Amino acid sequence: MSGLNQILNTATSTLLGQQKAISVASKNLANVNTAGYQRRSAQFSPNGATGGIAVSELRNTADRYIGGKLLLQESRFGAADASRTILASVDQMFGLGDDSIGSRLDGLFNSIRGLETDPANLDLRREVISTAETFVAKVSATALSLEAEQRRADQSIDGVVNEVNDLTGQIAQLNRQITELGNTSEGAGDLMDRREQLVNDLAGKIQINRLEAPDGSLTILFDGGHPLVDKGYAASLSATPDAAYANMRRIDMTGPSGSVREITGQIDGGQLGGILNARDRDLPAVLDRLDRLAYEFANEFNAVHSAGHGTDGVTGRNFFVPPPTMSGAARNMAIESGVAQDPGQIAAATTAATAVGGNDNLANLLGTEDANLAAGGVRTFREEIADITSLVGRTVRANQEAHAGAQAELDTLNAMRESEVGVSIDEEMLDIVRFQRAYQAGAKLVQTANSMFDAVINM
Amino acid sequence: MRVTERQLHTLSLRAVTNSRVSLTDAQNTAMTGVRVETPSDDPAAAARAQVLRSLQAEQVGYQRTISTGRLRLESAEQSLAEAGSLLTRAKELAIGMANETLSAGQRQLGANEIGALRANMIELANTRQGDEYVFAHVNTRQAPVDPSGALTYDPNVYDQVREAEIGANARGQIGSSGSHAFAQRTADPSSVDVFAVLQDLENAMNANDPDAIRAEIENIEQAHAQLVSERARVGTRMSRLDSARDAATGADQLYKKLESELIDADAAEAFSELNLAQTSFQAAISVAGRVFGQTLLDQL
Repeated sequence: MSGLNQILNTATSTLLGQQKAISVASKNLANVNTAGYQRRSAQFSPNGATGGIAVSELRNTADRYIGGKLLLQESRFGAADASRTILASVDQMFGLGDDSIGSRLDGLFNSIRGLETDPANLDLRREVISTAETFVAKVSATALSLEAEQRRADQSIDGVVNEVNDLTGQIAQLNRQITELGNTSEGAGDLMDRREQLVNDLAGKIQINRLEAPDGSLTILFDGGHPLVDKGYAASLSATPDAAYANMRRIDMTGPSGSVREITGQIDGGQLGGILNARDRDLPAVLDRLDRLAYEFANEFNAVHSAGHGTDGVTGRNFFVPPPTMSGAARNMAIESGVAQDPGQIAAATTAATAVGGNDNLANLLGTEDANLAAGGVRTFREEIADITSLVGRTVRANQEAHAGAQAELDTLNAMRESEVGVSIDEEMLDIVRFQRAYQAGAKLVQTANSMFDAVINM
Repeated sequence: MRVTERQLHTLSLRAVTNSRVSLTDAQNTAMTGVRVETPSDDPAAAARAQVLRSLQAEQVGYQRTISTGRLRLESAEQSLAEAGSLLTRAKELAIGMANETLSAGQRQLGANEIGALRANMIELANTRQGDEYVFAHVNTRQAPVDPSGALTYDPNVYDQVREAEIGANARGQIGSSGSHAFAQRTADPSSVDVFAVLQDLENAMNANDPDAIRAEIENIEQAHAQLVSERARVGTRMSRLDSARDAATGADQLYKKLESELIDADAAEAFSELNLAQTSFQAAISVAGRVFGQTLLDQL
């Protein structure tokens, strides 16, 4: 049998319940721009004891499948974004202006053509040396710039490794707090939101997978199996210069037992993966081709040059300093000091008798321009330079496409996730109106109960 | 499907950012007129453009060689023409001086003129173009004929002229041979030493010997024929250079055109792209403005 008091109790419960619901909606509104925040909904249930309602705050959860794909795309986007700035500068190095390696090589051959018309002319000989120096300087500067990009990329690893360690540390700490609070408690929701955001940030740094335990703690796995975060424990990464990487950084992971595992070769996602891909794959690919070009060109040019005679009748001189190895040939490319100081040593003639005025060997030198002597004898040097340009273009293009692709995929996944757990102002406003009306109704109930009490008292 | 504020924000942000990037690209293309500036703009076109540019540079090199060669050949041609006139005068003198009625004194005067013609001939054989002796063979810094009229090199060994690259796999002769023009060579039994012939004629006049003078007329004719045929060869070389220049100019233009097709932007296309990009950008910002303007907040 319900009494008047019961009606008042129900009214109180209604007022408190709707107030709580408005508070949930206002929390949603407040967090409309908070990254990682998942919308809370007010869950109403009848309260048998009071006859009123019980309202609890429920944190909407996102689809796990979307969550997993998001991490993957965050890693891909992070990698493409990190390589992008590095590769953009390589793209500029191989621009099509008059200062390209190809134009510089054309300049060298054209100066040899000029000398061919008047081989005894000292000014024309000097011009050959000068154009050769320009070509050599361009090749060498390009190689040095590529190496500098490699080093810059390498130096940026420290910062990213620190960020990863910071993130894994924070996630482990949040894991502990969530487990302590109990994952269903209201306070845990805020910690989970924060952790969600940190996990996404971490995926942008290095490729990861996630496993969620029933107690709410999260295990973050690197490369399928090695835990970066396991409940309250975080593994730490370290970067150490290593001779095996040409004194650039090797990345190790220290596990819970203190065991150290090298993971440099396994990292291919996130900012760290992007940096390592550029440092160990994209930049060396271009540098190797440039080294090979310099090595083959110097040797082939020298072979013809040393067969000829300078104006002093001496034969057997090299034009370029012979590169000892292919590696470093571009960086160290140089003209022999003898010929650089005395252009008379340019071997223009094929015989000692025609040493002054002979130009047959210049014709042989010009022959190296159109002969298939590059890339192991399959194409001309001109074609090889074009091929290197195309390699750079393709690499940069692939990166741009990966970047745009990951960005679009990330936007789509984020939109799907937002659709599930994001905050819509319109929706919250309507909810507030709805809860407000119910609150007003509750207040009316109190008034009604009050007048009923008055009636009873004044009877 | 729920639509949240962040979705709207991302959508508008992406639309505005992307159309801004397209607009900047279109503006850049329209302003520079270049579609491919760096390899990534179009890797295949960049590689082909690089090869074409190099081939173009090669054609410019050929053109330069051809111009230099042509100057030298023109200079040789002029000298050979003058040398021919000298020999014509020498032949007139020889015919005149062979007349039995002339006195020793008159022949002496003729001998003096032949001496002057010979000195003139030596000067012509030592014609220079820039720093180079036109009729020298290999060492163009050394005069081909000494003041006594003797060749400074062995004409039987050095009877080739300088060659240079004037086209792809094409070499052209860019000089004239003093050996063929002025010297007696064993390879050509009918050839005569032009300076020796003039010397012999001068000697015969000095010796007042009409028979000897008459005997030299045939040699002078041979010397003249020698100069004429070298001049003809020079003419042939010049026309070869001319056709090589046409080929190089044509190839240069062709490569330029092909390169331009690969890397330059078509003006009409560039400007229509620019218009399109401007329109999309304006649409993006106006839509973004409307999206955020429509909310329940204003209605409640």
